[in-house]
Amino acid sequence: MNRMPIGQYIPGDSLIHHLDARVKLIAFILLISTIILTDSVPGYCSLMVLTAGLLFVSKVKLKTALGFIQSLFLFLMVIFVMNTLFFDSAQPICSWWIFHISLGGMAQGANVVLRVIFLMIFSSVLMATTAPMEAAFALKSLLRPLQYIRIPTEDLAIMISVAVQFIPVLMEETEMIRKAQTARGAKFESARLREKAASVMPLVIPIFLGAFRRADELSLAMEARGYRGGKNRTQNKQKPLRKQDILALLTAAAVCFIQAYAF
Amino acid sequence: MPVELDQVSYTYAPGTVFEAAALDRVTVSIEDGEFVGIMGHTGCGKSTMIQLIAGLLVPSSGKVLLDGCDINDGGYRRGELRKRVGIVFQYPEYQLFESTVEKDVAFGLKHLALNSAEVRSRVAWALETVGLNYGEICRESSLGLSGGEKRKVAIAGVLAMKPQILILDEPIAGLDPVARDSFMQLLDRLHNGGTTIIIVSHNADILGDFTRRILVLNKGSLVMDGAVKDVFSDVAQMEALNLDVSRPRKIAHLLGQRGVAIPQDIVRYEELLTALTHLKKSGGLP
Ligand SMILES: Nc1ncnc2c1ncn2[C@@H]1O[C@H](COP(=O)(O)OP(=O)(O)O)[C@@H](O)[C@H]1O
Ligand SMILES: [Mg+2]
Repeated sequence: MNRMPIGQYIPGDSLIHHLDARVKLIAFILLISTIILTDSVPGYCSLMVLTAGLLFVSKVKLKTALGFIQSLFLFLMVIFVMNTLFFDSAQPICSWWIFHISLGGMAQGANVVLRVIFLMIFSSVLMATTAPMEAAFALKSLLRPLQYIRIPTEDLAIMISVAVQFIPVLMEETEMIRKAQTARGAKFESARLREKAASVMPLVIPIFLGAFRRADELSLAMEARGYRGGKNRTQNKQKPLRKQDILALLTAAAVCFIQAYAF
Repeated sequence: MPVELDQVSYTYAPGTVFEAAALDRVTVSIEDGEFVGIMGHTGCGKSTMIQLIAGLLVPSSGKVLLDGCDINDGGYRRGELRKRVGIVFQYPEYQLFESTVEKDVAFGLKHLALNSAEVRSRVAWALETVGLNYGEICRESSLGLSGGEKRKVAIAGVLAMKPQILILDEPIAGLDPVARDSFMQLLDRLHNGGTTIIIVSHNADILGDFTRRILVLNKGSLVMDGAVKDVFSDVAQMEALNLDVSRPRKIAHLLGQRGVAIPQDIVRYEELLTALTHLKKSGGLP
């Protein structure tokens, strides 16, 4: 019942917590490209070292960073098995009907699974160390150039930050409704699929109604205070990047570069 | 069917940075047919305590016993618990979701192995009990009703289960005085019918008028437990806990401080009036 939600911000005092969120977003993108460029054993070893370093510096617990494994385990297994069975390879170890088990297939499966795992670890660290509002502001400022191709980035930014701010509220409301329906006899914890499916509606409908109700109230409140769409709004002042931000950015770029060329 | 909490503690999100100890070794026993009020400052653990009684939370340590059986023991049947203990949360109207009022009220009954005639009579009874007309309202969409009616429908959904213990978390917050009084009358009728009622509220007047016993929580601990007049007799401590006593009690307290010889176990307006009339007759009032 009291699981830690995946991807939650955990206030802290580490170096990574104090970095500019824009820097963290860019570094994250760089690290993802690094992951995608990696496909050899030494490459994964060095990613592992990198991850250990990142967890150490960010003071995020391994348990938190790997929190997703439980819910993704089946998914990862399926990916691995599919790759192993169906990868087209010149020298299968053994073949039966349309299945060809090969070393190449296993390697391919391991590759995909490892990439997903590293990706999830890095995003867990990003989310654990970045307050949602900071992330929303960072996204907004990184998206700003898109204004020039007429994408309404201001409205997008408002939408994102409103959504982000309402996540805890909605989670609390969901929890309350879940409890209320449980008390009325809904069987969310039942092992039987039929009962589980039947308990979806009592949860989903009130949550949607609640979300619409809140959206209604919020839009009234925003208009009452003079909000008229995104254009010409006062800008939040951007803090300039500090020395450690630039250093972090360079480190991420260097890691990406080295990883891509060395392995 | 008594409810017993035996050294019950509860901690939210243990082992994380969000860890919050909400209840600390609370021991209390509530007998059949009692009408109990729970008071306490916001965040003191009232909601946590009643959710533990309803089996919606599992204690971090200690036991919750119903009729002497541990409800969190593997052998205890959840269905039995849901049938016996009904809980009404603060905004019960938000849990409605069915296409008609009738279906919404009957939601919990699906699990009780009743035939359709029994279900219908229970739904009718529950709706009439909360003061709605079954014939008029049962085919309406529950989402199209007014706020007050929605709340009544949601409460009818809990009553339809005929719980022996009815728990309510701040049910009268935000109701107008008329709706509040008729709601409390409803609880009183259920209580007279033998239902155990446990109600969380900040409204000392209402608790003084209707409940017989009050539990006071402070920072997760049970600090007071007793008959209403005993709990309200200690005005200073209640004030130290940031809580009201009922207004008649407060008036008697202030009069007492000014040297008027008025009894200090007054809780309700009638008692205050009787005492004042008595004083006037005997010349104790200027
Ligand atoms: N879901 C939760 N997660 C973490 N802490 C919680 C949660 N719910 C309540 N708490 C904390 O537990 C304490 C008791 O809460 P609660 O029982 O809701 O108090 P009350 O109903 O008396 O206002 C509070 O300090 C609150 O912050
Ligand atoms: Mg509460």
